[in-house]
Amino acid sequence: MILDVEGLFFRYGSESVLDEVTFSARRGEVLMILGPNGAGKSTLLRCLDGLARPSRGVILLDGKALAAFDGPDLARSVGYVPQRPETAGLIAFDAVLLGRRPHFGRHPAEEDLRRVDAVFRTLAMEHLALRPLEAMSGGELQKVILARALAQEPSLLLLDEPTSSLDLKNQVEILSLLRRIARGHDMAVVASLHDLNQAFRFGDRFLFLKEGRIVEAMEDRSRLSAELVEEVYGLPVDVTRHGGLPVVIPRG
Amino acid sequence: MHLEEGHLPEGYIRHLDAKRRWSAVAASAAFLALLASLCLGAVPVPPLEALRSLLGLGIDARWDRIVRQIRLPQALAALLAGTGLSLAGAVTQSTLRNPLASPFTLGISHAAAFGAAASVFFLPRSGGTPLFFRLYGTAAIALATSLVAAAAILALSRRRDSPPEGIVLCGIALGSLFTAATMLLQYFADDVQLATMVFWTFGDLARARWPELLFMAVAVALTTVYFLGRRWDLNTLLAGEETARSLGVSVTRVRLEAMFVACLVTAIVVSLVGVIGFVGIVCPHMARRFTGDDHRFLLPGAALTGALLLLLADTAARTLLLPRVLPVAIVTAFFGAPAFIWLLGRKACR
Repeated sequence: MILDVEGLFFRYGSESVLDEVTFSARRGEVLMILGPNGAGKSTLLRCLDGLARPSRGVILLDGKALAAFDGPDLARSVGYVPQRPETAGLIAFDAVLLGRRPHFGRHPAEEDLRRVDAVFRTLAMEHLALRPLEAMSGGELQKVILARALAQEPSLLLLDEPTSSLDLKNQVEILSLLRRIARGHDMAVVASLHDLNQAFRFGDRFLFLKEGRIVEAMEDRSRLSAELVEEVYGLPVDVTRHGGLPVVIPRG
Repeated sequence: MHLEEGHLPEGYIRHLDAKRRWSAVAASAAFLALLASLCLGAVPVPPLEALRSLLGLGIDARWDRIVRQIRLPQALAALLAGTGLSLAGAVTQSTLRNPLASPFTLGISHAAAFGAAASVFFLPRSGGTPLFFRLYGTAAIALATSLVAAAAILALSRRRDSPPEGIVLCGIALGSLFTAATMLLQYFADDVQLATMVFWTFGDLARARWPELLFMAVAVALTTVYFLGRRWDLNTLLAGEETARSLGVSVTRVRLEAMFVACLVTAIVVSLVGVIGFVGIVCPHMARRFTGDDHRFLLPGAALTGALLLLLADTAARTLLLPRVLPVAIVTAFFGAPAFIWLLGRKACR
């Protein structure tokens, strides 16, 4: 067990964004956070990285309270991939090297350069290393910010809709990469996703959020029902099977 | 993660070396410009004599005096003010994530000029103000008023929906406000005060003598050291505020500190040589074309470009209309304003 969340509340003004959220995430697994727009997925991820402060509740990382970590300490344990990557006049290698910021003191050592090089190899993107971010496609940019989070060598990786701006091929590539990294590097991956079919193809466990509450925490993908999807998303659907995986098809 | 199997990336090391070379080129160009500015003027000095004088090996006393007592202080003032203003511009651009930011376009320079003018108006002149107060008192009040402008800019930039152009419009409003306030003071000032106040409204490097130069040198050196020390934190800001925070950087602290230091160096430069426009916006962008946004290379690049260009502008201001000698701010405005408009157009095209 790596991440334990208990009774998390988050209020924005008088509006309740997260309402008693309790769950946990394990090393080697991909936990998918699912739900409609405004369900609180982004806020939940931001709370898990200390970017938003919950009004109540406990977040434990390997048994230690999140609030007890200082900035660089937390950055060595938790990596966060935001929804929209920013471009700048940097080459990919420099952008990924920023992920080593919590590890090096005044400036990066040779060891940091080696580790960044290893990240590029792991993601099979060595050919992008010296390319400026401004000359990159959305898919390449998404890989760069994922690489940056991996360069932090976190034990928990958070991703906010990592595939929202990607074409089908890039979506599949990024998601299968996440699964491979979770398994191969013994990392806990928590990602929010809109595409249910891909979530069920690449995820291990699933958390359905609606209006800040957990509607269902699912361990077994075969238990996905049309009623659940309809309840969470407010849209009538059919659920069929294809190759052992559930496929959600909107009705109408 | 297991990341032990990486190699030292040769391509990247070569890339770093190539970037470092730009600084060497800019530094050599700045040195040549310094030599040229020592030679040029009403009385031309042969380059070899100028070099000898610069190194303290001058033979001819007449040339030695022209170079070391007249031209060298002004050239050093140009190098220092250019470095300070360009660094302040580069760093405000990064901290506000706004390519149009600079002390001048944000009204911070005008606010500092108002503070300097106010120090003349409100503080007593008891038979020749002591040098100590003339330098530090004026600079301190200029800093205080420039911080007011910076606080307004920072407050507006915290709103997520404010576009880069909006921030600059706010800067224009602040600039006009502080210019009007300076004019109000000038309206009520007596002749002696007025003559002193006018000095700050258009920058002139000719007034800086050795005590001023020493003060400016210390301020610019400390600023450079501070910004260079923060280069990796400034780099993480390039990745966006959220990412910077998730990388363990205390974004608010870095922002406030960097803006404070940018205001400090601007206020000191303005209080010593007056408002010099466009150096802080145009020079960092020229440097960015060669160095990119990485502060390891951008900061030295912007510093050298600022030093080089302000020195060239000042040399032009001294020599173009001989025997007339112009204040340098007029030249930077004539070249800087079109460059700034070009920059706006290029940004709009993207």
